[in-house]
Amino acid sequence: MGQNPPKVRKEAGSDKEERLAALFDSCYPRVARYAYARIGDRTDAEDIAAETFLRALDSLDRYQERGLPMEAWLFRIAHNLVVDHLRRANRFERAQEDEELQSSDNPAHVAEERILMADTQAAMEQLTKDQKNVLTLRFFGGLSSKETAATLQKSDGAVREMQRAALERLRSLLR
Amino acid sequence: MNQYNMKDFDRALDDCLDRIRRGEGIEQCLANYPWHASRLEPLLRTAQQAQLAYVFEPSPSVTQDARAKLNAARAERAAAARSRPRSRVFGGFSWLRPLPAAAIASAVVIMLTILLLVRPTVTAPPVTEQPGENDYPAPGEEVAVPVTPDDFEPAFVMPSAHPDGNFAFYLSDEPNAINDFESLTVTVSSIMLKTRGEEPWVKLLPMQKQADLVQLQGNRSLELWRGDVPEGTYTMVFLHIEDVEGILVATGESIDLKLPSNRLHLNMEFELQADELTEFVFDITVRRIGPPENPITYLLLPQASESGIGRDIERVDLHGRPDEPGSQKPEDPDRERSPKRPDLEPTPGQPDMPVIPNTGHSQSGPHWRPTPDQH
Repeated sequence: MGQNPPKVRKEAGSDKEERLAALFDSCYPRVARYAYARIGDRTDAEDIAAETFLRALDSLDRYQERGLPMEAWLFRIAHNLVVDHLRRANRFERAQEDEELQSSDNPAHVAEERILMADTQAAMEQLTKDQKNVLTLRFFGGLSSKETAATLQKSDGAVREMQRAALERLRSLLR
Repeated sequence: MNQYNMKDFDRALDDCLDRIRRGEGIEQCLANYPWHASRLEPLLRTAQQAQLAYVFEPSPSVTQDARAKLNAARAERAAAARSRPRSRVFGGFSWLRPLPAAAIASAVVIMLTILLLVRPTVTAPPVTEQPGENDYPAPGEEVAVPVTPDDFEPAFVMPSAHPDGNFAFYLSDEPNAINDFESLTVTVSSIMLKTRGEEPWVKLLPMQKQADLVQLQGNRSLELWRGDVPEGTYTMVFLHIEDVEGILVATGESIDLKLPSNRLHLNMEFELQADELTEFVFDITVRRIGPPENPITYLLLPQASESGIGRDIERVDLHGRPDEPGSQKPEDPDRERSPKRPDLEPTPGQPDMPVIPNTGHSQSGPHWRPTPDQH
């Protein structure tokens, strides 16, 4: 007797929409942080995070969860938006905000931190494109290495290797 | 380090990075990998330093705007889906198509018969709906969605309008597709404020029921109600709209606007003090939706980013002319807030206003109820 093929229930559009909306609270700040780490401008980063969700909604009918969780799919959209943004801007701009420096009780300490931050950001810029992608998705997007791999369409092992190489390079640059 | 050891190290590093992100300390992680510790530690500290270089939290107002945009896009999507013509007679029940009409009719008759026979044996427990439970949407939503039957209302108190009240409610318009309209008149039947907790809702009957949104663009705002509202924390504002009439600039024709469930709502927490005037702006926007090849459809939506307390208000009257605060009332607008009348103050244990239970009927009546000393 032949077995009937398993019934595949297609996820309804409204279910996917609900899941996307439910991801907003946890993912919006992380997408914004990821974009900020890549482009260095807070306002643009917030715009990209908002745009990510609108693009996701527009493309929701085409989204199918085949090994790529919705969260990683969102970051792939964000990643593409960041790449577009960088291509348009063709430069790295960082919005300097001196409010903290001016209002702090210990401006010298804040200034030291600022220098350290500036050095770290400059070092991040020395990494290869892939290394930067991996570190920003891992550290600022809060994705696991598996999710990062799915987002960047690479293997888990390759991502872990790039992660180590990126940190070693950063360390040597910051010495 | 050979290739195997390198892969093992990469896994250990990956695991430590995940654990540190979840709140564990570097030392705890190193304790699990003593054979890699000397090489892991500097990389983990570098990772920490890199993360500190980009500390950034998006601002709450921008986050709220982004959420409102997503909700607006969802509402547009839902409206577009509803207005899309069904290409198949049976819609999702395509498996019915091959059946002849007689067979379908027979099946329906059989099902109805079974239903009638079974019905008397089926009993359901009585359902008691509590205000604020099943009546309105869950927190997190900013956009109007149909959530309850239109005739359901929770228990509420209904304060009288009062020119020296502690609360003023304004309507305004965020320009989007408003320039398509010569006039866009909304008729507001009531305003509902949801209190935090178990307190009854507050229902306001607007003194000014109609507003032309074309006259209310930007900061221009029309006062709909002013009076005394119980102090406390409010978490949602509902605008019940009984009619929307738009006249298009291009053709001069009158069109219907879509308004899901005839109400708009905002999730917005704000505090009201008894002795301090709070001005709340409810901003509405009109958006053009659907593909350009179809007949144009417009949708009314609340604009969370432009609504709330502490907004810049340019007061205008119904015709868009500059207006003084409270000038719609038969009172001197420049006078100071008068103290509350002792004879109207509640005695201990007595509520400020009678609580009107959920009757299922909309309240109607005079919009302006002068107090005895205003005659």
